Amino acid sequence: MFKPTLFNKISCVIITSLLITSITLLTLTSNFFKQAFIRSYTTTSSSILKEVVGELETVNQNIILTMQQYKYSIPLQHYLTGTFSEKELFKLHYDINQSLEDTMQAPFSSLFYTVTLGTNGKLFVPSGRSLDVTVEELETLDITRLSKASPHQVFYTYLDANNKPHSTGKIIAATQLINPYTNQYFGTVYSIIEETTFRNLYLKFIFESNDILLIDSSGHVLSSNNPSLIGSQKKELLPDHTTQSLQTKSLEDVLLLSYYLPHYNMYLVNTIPYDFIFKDYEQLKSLLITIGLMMICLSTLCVFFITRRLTQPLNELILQMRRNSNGQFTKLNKVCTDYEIKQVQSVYNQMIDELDDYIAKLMEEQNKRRQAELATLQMQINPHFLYNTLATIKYLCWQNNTKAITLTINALISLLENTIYQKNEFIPIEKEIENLKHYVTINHIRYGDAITVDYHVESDCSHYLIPKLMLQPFVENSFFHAFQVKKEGRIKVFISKQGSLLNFTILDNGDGITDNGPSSAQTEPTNQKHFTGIGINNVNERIKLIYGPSYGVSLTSTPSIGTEVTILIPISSEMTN
Amino acid sequence: MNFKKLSSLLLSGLLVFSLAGCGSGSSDSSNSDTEGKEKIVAWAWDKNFNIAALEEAKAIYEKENPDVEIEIVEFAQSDIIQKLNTGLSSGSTDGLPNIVLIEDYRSQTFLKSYPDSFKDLSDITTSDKFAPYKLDFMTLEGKTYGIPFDTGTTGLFYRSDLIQEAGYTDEDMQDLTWEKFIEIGKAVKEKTGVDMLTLDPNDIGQVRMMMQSAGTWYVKEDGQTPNFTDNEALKESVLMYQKLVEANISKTVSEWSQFVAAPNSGEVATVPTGCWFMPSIMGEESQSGLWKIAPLPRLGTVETSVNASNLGGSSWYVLDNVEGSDVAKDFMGKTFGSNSDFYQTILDKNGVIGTYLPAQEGEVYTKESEFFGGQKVFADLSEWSSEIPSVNYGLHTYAFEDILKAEVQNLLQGADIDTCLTNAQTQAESQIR
Repeated sequence: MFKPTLFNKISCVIITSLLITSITLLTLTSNFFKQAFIRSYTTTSSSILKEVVGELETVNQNIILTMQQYKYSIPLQHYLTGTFSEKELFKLHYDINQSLEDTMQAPFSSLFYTVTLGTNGKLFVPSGRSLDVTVEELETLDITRLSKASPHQVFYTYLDANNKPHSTGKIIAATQLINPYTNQYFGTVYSIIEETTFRNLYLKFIFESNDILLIDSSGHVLSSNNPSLIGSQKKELLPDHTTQSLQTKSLEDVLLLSYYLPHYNMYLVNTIPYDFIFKDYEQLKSLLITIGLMMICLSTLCVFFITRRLTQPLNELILQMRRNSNGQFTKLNKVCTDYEIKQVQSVYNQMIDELDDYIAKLMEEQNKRRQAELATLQMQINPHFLYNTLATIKYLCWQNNTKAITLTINALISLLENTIYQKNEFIPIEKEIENLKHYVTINHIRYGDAITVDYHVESDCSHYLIPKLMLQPFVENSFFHAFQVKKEGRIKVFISKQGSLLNFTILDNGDGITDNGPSSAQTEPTNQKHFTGIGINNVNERIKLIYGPSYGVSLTSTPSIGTEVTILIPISSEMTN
Repeated sequence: MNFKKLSSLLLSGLLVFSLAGCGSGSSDSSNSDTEGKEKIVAWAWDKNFNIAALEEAKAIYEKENPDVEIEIVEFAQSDIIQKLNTGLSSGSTDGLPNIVLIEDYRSQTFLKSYPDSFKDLSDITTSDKFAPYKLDFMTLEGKTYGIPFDTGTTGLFYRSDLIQEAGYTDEDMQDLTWEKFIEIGKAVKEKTGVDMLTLDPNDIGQVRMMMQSAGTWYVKEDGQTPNFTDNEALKESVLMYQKLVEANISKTVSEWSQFVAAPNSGEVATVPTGCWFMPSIMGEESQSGLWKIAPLPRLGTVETSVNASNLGGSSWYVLDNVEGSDVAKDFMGKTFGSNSDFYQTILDKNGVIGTYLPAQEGEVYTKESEFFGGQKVFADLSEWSSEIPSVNYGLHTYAFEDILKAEVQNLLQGADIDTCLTNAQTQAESQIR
């Protein structure tokens, strides 16, 4: 099927490289887009996280500020360290609330509430707030222990809802209450953020499908916009390194960004499913592939057409050249404007020209050689003819027929003179008739005059030149072959002008030529009776050599009626004398 | 070459097409709003009470209007006040709810501070449907802007067992004076070691109840003029409060959960408060049968004082300029504004006593409460509610109370009552000027 043609090869190479280029390009582009999508989501995600972290920091600062105020509250210190009567307590409660009023007006105060637990075991919760945790729960928190170990630091932890009704998980901060002036330690302060409140801080950053989670350092999910995740263990979401604040991690199906919150000792994690990230990308990809395929198809078509156009002239060239292969060389048509093909064509045509020239020269040479051969032939008098004629003269001498002897010798001398001494190849018609007459004379003397020859030459024809001894072989032929049976008859020679042609007709009323008749005539070219080496076949050949293939000898014969030989040659100016 | 031109044209055409494709591909993901569902938001406080009633109403309304989604958000009352003030004063309705619960003490303040912010609900709230004393709070220039919700009718919740242990009977508890209340309290403290009541120095609701039982308030009839001096009932109320503190029969608390925890854990024998406290009392099921409700004590020294008063109570308001206000109004009208069965349900299920008059003929009102030892509490409360002296709370209830709280502390430190009240009057006058 696959022919190693130029077209196939070029198409193959171009299409293959096209495919490779396109596929490489497509892969690269699609990878680039993929990366770009991930990058853009990473940027978005990190700015979201930064926003949330900012809010959480603000909350943290407010919590610390609030705790600071609690440390400065002298009534609170009294309340948490001493024992009082109800009346004293009534005043203390009022004073504490007054001293802490600022904290209740603070902008973020509605996010959390604060509980203090005194060294005397007393609990204080500012008015307007309801307490959702028990003292035992607070006391057993690990941050209570931690903050007692380093009392100036704020610690965060998470307290589960523990399946209490109407309760949610809580993020709790704790530090120790130490009077900054007296350094007196008077209790522990806890700031409590409900998980639902906490969630509201980042809920506005939830777009379609990302999840924001708050994870403690052991992988425990403390808070999430997705409530089903809360409480679950998600160690895999923890970042690989704890040193950096912002980290990206790529899990199997989600892009994960985490932010370490040093104050809270927790990680804020934003996860975006790759499905979501690549939702737009998938659209783009299919578009890319569609366009890519269209381009490939289009380019393939283009390549096909262009290659076809390029190779078409070559194919035509091949076809034209193939047509020339049977020995006939014709020039190529100019079909193409391409430089190379044009060159090939012109070189080929030049070659054909030269070949034609060469062949023409060769033909000409051959013709000339043949003509020379024939000319030589016509100048050679058959020795048998001479012998026979001389024998006839001898016989005449014997008879003392002087008149006949004179006639014969005159005729022979004229014949010899015209054939041997006259070097001209062409002679006027009158000369040829004269020769014919001499020849007929000799024949009549030799064989008797049972066969008569008449000449009908149009008067304006006699001066035209014709090849020497053109008519003689036909008259000779009629003499020796046409009257085998009849023994007597007539031979008529007509010469006339037909337009631009000269018409020679040699008619006899002899036996005619049977089917094998002429062959017997032609198979005796060296017949002893022949005057020269030229037979009728040679005449025809000679005419064609001289005048061209459209001229020559035609012969019609009817058995027992006669034979008609017609010779047609053109009249040309040079043929006049 | 022509062919080249043609192909380059085609290629550029393709490129343009592909770019256009990109553009359209990214733009069609934007408008994916949840269409059809109209969302309205309601803010309230107290999960067991207000929120529970809202949930019930939501269930009823959403069943009939499946294309409406009602979101109920619980906030502390102070947060609601703060957020409302912030939102309304900024003029931006962004982030504000459609429906909000406002305590009656504050309603006039909001209506006057933010005119045109609340929807006129006069066609829903008609005087034949709601107690008139309640309607006054939400009426401004003849238009009614709210739907009355719970009643603040006061009662004296008391532990029948502890009272009897101290040598008193249920009859002794009826129509008490505060003087008698202190006397019984001392006996209870002596006999059982249990305090008589809780007091919160930052919330002197007791003064308010006493005051209203005598038909007077921090402000005069006009709702503006401070009414501390020459207000005998207020003076007697403050003095009585001082007696309560000094009688050593009270437990000091500082916040709601402690206030609730005290009766629930058996630390106090009585709670004189609004009837909305009933669900909290009933929260401690182990005390079922021990509690009873008596009318609130009256001021024995003030003649006009009756054994009935009001504490708290709140009403629903619809914000006019928030998207979905018509739906919100429809929701309120079809539930809180007209649905008798709904009130019966929340009364039965949650102990929420509404102020919708037609509902009071329902059988739940005459039901005997097992928790309260077979007492027909709802019938009793609605009877007392008809005796509540009407007062105009005006605009400055809490602002003036803050002034009074400080003066009460001074009083307890030994200051003279008249000096204290004069101080309060001066401060109040300077504050509203």
